[in-house]
Amino acid sequence: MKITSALFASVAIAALAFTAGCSDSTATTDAEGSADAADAPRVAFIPKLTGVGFFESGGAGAEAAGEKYGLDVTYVGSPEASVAKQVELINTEIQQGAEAIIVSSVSPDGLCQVFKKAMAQDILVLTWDSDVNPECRTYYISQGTADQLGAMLVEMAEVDIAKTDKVEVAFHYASPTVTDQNQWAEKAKQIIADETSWTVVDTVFSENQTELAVQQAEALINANPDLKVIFAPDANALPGTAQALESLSRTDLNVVGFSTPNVMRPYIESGTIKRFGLWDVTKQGELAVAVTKQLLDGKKLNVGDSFDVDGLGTLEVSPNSVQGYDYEADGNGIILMPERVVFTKDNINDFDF
Amino acid sequence: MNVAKAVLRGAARWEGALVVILMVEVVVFGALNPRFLDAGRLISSTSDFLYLGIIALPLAIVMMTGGIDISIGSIVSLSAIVTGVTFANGVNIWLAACLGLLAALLAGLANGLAIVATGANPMVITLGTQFLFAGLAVGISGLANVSSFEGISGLPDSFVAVGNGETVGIPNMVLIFVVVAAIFAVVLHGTTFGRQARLIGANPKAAAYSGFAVTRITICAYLLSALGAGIAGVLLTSYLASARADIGANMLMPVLTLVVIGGVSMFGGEGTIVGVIIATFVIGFLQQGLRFAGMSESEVAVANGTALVLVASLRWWTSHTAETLKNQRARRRKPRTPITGSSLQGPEVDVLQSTRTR
Repeated sequence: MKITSALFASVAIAALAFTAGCSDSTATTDAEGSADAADAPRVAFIPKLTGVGFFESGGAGAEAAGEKYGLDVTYVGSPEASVAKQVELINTEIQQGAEAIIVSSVSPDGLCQVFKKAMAQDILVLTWDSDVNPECRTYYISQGTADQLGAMLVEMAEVDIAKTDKVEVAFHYASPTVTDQNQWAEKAKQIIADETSWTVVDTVFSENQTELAVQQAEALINANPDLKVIFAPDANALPGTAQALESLSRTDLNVVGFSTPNVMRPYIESGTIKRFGLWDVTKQGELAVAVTKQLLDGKKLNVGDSFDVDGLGTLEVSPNSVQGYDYEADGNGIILMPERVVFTKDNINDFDF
Repeated sequence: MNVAKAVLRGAARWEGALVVILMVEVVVFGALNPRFLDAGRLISSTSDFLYLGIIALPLAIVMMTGGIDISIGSIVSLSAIVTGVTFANGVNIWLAACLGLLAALLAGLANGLAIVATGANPMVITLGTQFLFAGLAVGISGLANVSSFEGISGLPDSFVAVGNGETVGIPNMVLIFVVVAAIFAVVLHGTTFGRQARLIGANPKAAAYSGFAVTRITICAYLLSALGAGIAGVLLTSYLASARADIGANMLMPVLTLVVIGGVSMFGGEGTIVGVIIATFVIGFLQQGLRFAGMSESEVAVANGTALVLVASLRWWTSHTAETLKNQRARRRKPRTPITGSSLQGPEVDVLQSTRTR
């Protein structure tokens, strides 16, 4: 028995020494990289999940802005979009002495407990991209309201199809339960009903699945031969619909929607689709850190206040009601990105995310 | 007395090595980042991983019987969402939590019955029920008119305090873990059920011929693992103050890691609850420490995976070497009594048998 335990222990220690060796080297490189930022306030910038171009670009924007404003911004996230994992990460950040936490939340209510704990310790809590209930954070750095993004969808289609044309249009996005996409689609449908002669013939869903997105789009196009426009406000539905157009060799259909430039570049270059929209997520990351800097410096921001951000112009704090919330309080509100971007052949190569 | 001896003997082996690893972890990570060492922090941070241990403990019992329960993550989701939906429909929250646990037990019963009735590989059955329970959870969430993205909130403060509060300075999660761990340790090491469950894993045929109630014990093992998952589901609902249908979606692999690092054999028959308890802290603090050392989440996953592979191979290598040494010693001494006569009595014999069959 002695031999066994000695064997176990020695090999185990060797294994741990190996692990420790790894972490040691990481720690030193980290220390070198941020030697001058040793005293800088620590700010955690957390995505829904890592490994997705969209969030990585947001993180890059935030870290670059951190250097500019003298904040020690770290982009930390889990490869899985899970509430429990986000809570664990946020807890670790609180324990490591972060002064501000900026999160794209996986859930509107699941992070409230940990956020309340953070705020009780005077840690600044902001959200970006995906919000939590407003009482659980201070400010939400929003890419746009449902009104803005819904109207943007219709505007992108209007370039080629006149409002007075009697044409058939359809919607294709992730699922009927996705809050934000549903709001955009509802707003767009309302504008179509009020201001155009277009008819919405169908709405299909592809549940965030790449293959399903192509199949659903093909089925939609085959079932509605007179379809002229497909609105795909989803990062999966848009490339899926574009792929379906290519495999069916249809060039008489307009597809517009929201997705990221890197995914859509081949379809823009081949001319399958002419334009699609999104916001500049790198700038969203920058803006979040810029707002954090002002708040950490002691500036108070209330609804209606405006402030300047280098490179983004003058911004205003909007009430939570622009996003449909009832809750309003001092030092609480929504900061809207000043503009969203329409990507075309002419500008798509200026973006990398 | 035999039980106590068996526990001690186990602790002298793999569990001892785990304790050494745990101590080295604390020292190394404390040296890398002094913030890691703060005692209050060390204790309060355990709330972030102890729920995995609560699932891993009874899963260890299932795996000792030679089975496996892939569906635990889905059972976590199921119990969480049943708790939330019944609460949203006006049921008292404590009753709702009991209904959540009941749903988990029913899921466990379904697993156990299906495995016993079909005789199919438990992995196949629970792989199927994994999708079944996950689908049920999403379907049930529709009954409260919430999307699986949103979750059910507005839970009463008294319920939220279960997962978040403290009692005499110790986080409730820790207290609950201690109680649950003690119960499962007694169940496995101190009851006939526990001993028979392990022996079924060591040699199912011998167990059946010895007149063990294999069917009943197997069903009970799956009931226990479902109960553990159910407790974790209710606890997480309280901890996050939100009942979600996807809460257990990514939980299977971390829990399996704990069980395997805890020294439970994938082939059944070997392992202790103590090992799994220590492994819960070893892995929990390993991940935390690596984060404190400035590693990104993907790097932590790589380190974690490396640890798992190392441990799995070390387990084999060390037991293999120990076995060889023991055989050499035995050969040098005069021959002992033949081992076949006492094939169901000592852990050494189990080890011999299992190494031979592999």
